[in-house]
Amino acid sequence: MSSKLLEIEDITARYAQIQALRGVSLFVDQGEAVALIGANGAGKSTLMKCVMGLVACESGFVRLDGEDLARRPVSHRAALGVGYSPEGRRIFPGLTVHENLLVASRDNDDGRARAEDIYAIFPALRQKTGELGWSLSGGQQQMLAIGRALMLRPRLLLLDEPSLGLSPLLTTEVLTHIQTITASGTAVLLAEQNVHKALSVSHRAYVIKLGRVVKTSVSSELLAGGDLTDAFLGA
Amino acid sequence: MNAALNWSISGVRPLLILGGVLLAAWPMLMSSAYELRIFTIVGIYALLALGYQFIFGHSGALALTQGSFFGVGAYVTAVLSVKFALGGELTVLLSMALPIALAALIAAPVLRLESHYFALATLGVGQVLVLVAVAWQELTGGANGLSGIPGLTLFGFEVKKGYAIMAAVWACVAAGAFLSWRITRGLYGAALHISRENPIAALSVGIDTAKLRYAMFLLSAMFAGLAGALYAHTIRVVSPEALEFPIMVACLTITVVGGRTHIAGAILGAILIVNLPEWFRAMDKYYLIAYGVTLLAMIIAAPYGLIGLLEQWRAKLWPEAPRRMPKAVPLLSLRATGPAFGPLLEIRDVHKRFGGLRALNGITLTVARGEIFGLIGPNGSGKTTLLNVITGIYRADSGSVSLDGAAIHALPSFAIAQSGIARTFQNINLVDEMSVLDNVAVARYGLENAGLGQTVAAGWSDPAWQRARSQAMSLLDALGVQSVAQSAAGTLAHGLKRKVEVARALALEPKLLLLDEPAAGLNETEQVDLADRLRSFARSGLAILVIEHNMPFLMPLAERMACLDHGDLIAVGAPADIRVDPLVVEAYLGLPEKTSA
Amino acid sequence: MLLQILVNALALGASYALLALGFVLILNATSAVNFTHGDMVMAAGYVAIALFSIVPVPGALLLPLVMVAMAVLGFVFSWFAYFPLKNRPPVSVFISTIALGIVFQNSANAIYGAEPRKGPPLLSEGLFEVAGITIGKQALGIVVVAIVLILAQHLLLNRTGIGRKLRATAQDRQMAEAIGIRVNRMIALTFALGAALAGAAGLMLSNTFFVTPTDGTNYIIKAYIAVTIGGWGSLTGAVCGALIIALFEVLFPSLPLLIPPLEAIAPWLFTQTASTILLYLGLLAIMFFRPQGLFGERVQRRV
Repeated sequence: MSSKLLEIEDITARYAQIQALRGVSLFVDQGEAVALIGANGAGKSTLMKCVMGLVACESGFVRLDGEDLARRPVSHRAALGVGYSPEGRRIFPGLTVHENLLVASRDNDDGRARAEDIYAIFPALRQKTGELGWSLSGGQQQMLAIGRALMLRPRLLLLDEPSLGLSPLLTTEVLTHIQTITASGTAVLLAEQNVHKALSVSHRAYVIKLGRVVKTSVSSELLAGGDLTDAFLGA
Repeated sequence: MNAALNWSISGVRPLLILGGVLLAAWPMLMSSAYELRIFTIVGIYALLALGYQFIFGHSGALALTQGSFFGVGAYVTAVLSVKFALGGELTVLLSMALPIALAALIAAPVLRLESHYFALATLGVGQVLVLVAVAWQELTGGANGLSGIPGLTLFGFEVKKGYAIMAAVWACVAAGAFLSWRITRGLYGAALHISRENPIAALSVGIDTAKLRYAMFLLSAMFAGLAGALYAHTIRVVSPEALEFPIMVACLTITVVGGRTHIAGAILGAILIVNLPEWFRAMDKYYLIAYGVTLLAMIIAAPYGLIGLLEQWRAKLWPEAPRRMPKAVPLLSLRATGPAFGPLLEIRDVHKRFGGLRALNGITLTVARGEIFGLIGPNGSGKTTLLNVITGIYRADSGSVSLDGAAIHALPSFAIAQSGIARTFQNINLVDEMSVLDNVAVARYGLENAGLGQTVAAGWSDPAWQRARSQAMSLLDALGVQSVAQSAAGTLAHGLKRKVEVARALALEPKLLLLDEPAAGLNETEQVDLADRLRSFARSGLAILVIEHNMPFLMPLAERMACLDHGDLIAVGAPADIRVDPLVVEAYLGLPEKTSA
Repeated sequence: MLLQILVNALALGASYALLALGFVLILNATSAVNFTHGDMVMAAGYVAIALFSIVPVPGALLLPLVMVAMAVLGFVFSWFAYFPLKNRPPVSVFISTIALGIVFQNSANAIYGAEPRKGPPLLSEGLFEVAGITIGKQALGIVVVAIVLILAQHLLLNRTGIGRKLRATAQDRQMAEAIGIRVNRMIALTFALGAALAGAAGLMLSNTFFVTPTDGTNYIIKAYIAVTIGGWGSLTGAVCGALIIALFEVLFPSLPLLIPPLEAIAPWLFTQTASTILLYLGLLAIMFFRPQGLFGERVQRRV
């Protein structure tokens, strides 16, 4: 039995009629942080949506702890241990911060206790606990989205483009929490446009270009190597 | 001769022609006055449904006023002929005029609402009319209505009961069907089709969708008024029942069951729905329940009605041979632009906020005639927002956009398209059921000055449509996709769809072409091919603005580029300069790139 | 006199509020306009009449039964009208609900006939005397019950786990699924809840206003007007809009009673009919000048 928590094998997928993924394979081990970097349109978000079941994989496998996710309905992912913070955050605008957290938990006693854990990770949320979702700033919403995804103590957190719409300062603040998250045993798969920040908080990384993995390495090596511009601006 | 033969064996027409013959023969086989009367009522409902198809079928707007307009027409006839003894030639006209006026009145506040809000608003109108009819006793006879309505008299000549009125009604149905066919064929019909299936695409090719919907609404009212007038002369009594909801229900059921865009559907639906209570005598007061169940079953299983089903079966069992394609004619080249100096497109200090988010922060840039201009930037930087501001889908908060010196930022988006800016979309916006050729041809709507009057007055085949299709053919040639001209657009591979969209944009004879991520989903060969074609268009004077993430595609193509980041314009210049601009690199990568030692 | 009129208006407004609330709940959860909602009110009236003929107890005791019956009906209804069509454009659901509305109306007609029937009162018919003012018992009862139900609905949605899940589903269905909520169940439950509220309204209106099979069309339009005034999608707005309509419907025709000179000026203006017409005209005016109503976001515009 492999120790790999998440195993993606040669998946192809279409999104909005386009062949977004053309055979992608990658894996995430227990408790590690893996970054997916690449230009917009490269397929990072589509990959996340495939794991979540929001986009159908045409071929290939997505396995969580050896179990094939393909035939499971979307709503099973949470119970199986996958937390999802989507692109654009999508917190529930008409629910308060506290309600956004509670609604992602199973029952209320455990939920309340778990919410306390989340406030410990993100103290800024505690101050806003009674505020409605739509009134939060971008950074606060991003923290709430991550906190919501962590409510059921997932084994894997899918974090899709957290830096979108955030200032560089806030992005750093949000991303540094990843270390706390992996330290508590949750693996993280991070899709990010901001290459340097993504590499500095992850153990390994995959570079995606036009639906394929073109490079993979330990993050520190990629950071030092410095030939990434090509993946984004190369002709 | 060949053309007529081809026409009559295409689609389900053989069945319909057979049906038409039977329909015409039926009255001669009828024995009783009662059967004759039922057949007359069938005709009246067919006419009502034909009218309803304009707003519900062809415009895709669920209006619930058709029954009310019918009732108004009936009352106008009743009141004018009973109380004022006016002749048919006047009362029929006024029976059509008043519903049209009513439609024009209520269209202003409600027609621009989304479908189901619109429907409920129109329902309210119906309720008001019933109340008025009951309350205004001196005019309408109150709850009992008006009886003793004389038969239809036209210039002193009376149309008698029985065969005469039946023939008059069906003559109106034939005339209505003819008018409906005229209106919904050709260029105007294609414009109706795209307006209901994909309003954004319709606006982007210069079609004023609101105006079309308005015209269809008034037309439906006219048909309803006529049907009401004929109804009054047939049953000789008009009461508030003529305004009540069951008539609207019957009309809706007929249209859904028969087929909401097929003329034959209105007639077939009317035959079935009017006769249902007759055939199921035992149902008695339950016949309306049967209507309800039928309506539910049809909307779930066969939303395009029986005629739609027939067409689907025919297409599966007996696919048609492709028709002969029109000959391509050389496209009139890009229209003469204004003075040849000064920029073509000038964007000045444009700001746009969405709530707290600053999407565009004072963007200023220009695009020259015949230039290929690239626009890049990370996700969320404002590129598509800028495109939408240029094309009028969003209104800028401040700043200006000018084309050839004329300010366009205050114009509605269809007018901007007509003034010479064409675009393609990130997600392809073609009409899937229309052929590739028709998808492109419909974009000639503005340039052909198409309109309601023109399509009615045209002969057997709409010359504007023939011209449009020929032009479209040459455009498909220019993009290298002429071989799929007859295929339904929805069946094409993505790369081909993309090219068809470009062809459609070019049909506007634009001065400026805006492309939103055109290379997405194209393989390498297709990308090279597209880039080559774009270059040749630019050489003949077309300015092109391309949003792209795909640098291998964009860098060799663009002559100048601009980079956006978080709503700011951070760099403008030649591609080689942009590529190494530290601000640009930072925007994409997050930190300045270390140069290798 | 004025007080009596106001209490009547409040009672009517309270009933309309329940009806409008149910309508908005379903709208928010499914983006679907439920045309049958008015017919649910009518159906509940007949259910109340039927139950009363078996067990002649005050309506207040029948209320829970009626609400449960309507909840079941709403649940089943969603299987026919909504779920087969949930991936189609919203217009299809509107038509399917029109179709089922026809079935409801004519089934009621077939069973009970077109003559208006009187439903059971909540407590009893009759008058109350408080500090020298006479108030109808039914009117007072309606106001009390409606307040209780509206509070209960508010507590359910805002203070319980299931309520949170319902609201989350209504706000972002896909995201709700992603965090593990069974959205189909939530939607069916919303239909049941909406129908139960309509049912309560139906029972309460059946005594003062009687029940006829064709009432549904009138009620759905009232719900629609309430929601448009209050703001499409807003629960508070729905309640406010309902009260405004009721106030207008009851107060306007009664103005000559309070200000006698008005009777002489325009007797035809202060009738039930005229006030209804004015109400619809007011609706058209609101849609033209302020389509987002009092509390709502911009109503969807066509392009």
